[in-house]
Amino acid sequence: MTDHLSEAAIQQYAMDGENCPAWMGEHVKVCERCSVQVNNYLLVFKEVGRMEVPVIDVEELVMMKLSRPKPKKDWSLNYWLGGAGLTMLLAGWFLRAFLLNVAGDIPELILFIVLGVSVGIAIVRGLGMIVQYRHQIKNLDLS
Amino acid sequence: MNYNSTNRLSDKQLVERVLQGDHHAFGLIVKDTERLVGQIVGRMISHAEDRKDIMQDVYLKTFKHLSGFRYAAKLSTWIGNIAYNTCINFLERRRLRVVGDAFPDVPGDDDGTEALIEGRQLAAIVAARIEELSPLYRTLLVLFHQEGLSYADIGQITALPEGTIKSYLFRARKQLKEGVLGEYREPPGAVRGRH
Repeated sequence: MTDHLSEAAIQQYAMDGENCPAWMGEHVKVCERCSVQVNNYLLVFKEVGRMEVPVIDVEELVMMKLSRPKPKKDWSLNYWLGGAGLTMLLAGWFLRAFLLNVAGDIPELILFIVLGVSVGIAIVRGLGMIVQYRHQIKNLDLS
Repeated sequence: MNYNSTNRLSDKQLVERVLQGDHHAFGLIVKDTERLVGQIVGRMISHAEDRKDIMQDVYLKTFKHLSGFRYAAKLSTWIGNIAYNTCINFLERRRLRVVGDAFPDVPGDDDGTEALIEGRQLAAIVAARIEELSPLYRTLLVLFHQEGLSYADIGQITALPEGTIKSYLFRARKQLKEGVLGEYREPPGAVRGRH
């Protein structure tokens, strides 16, 4: 016997021999090579079917995440920033005469540079502090 | 594998309950689909810690997008599709191989008459060699041969055309069988070349 079943036909016969054409079954009966190949596939399929199923139990974790109440937004930082800004404005208002007097002796360009640099540094440092604060609070969230 | 037995709530009932705020109903969905999602994630992703994170991610995505479920497919295959896509995105982000041939087609000394013998050794060889297949081939093999899913269901999970699934499955089975035979032929203790 020289004409053997193709690889696809052997796979098909191993998976669903009953529904394959009768000539395939007759060939497999008399051809040792094809019969061995069919049996090899049958054994491999059997072992695949028996393989351990990965168990990844996440039900509890998922349900916990779903039922966890949403954290309330923390407004305290905004109150602090608002309070600090208001205090500075009030201080500026009460000391306006003194400040205008001091500013009057300083050339306008230097005044703008000094004020600009100070405000710039304050903004950068302030933002850095806020980012660091939020990062630390997030790390402390052990819930 | 029947992921939704008839004596339980139907997909529609479960989804409606979840959308009305019943978290317990979502727990039932997780229980019903955990095995299928576990098979997909477990076969696509190698690292155990990543698997757990991805599984959680899959169910949180499912919960978030449940209102978008249109009942065009079974709920289990819809969730399977979320799992599959999440794994594909994970593998692509890490630039890992999703599909491909594990072992190149090199003509060997197989004359087709070597017979495998059932036993513990064979089970171990099959389990080891299946791990060497590409993630997609592994997943297709277990969905078809272990979970007994139809080509149509696998198509809904992977969004691949039926012809492509059949072709990939053919190659995966052939590679697996040849890999197992190759290991069988090697004398004990021999070091097998990895590709």
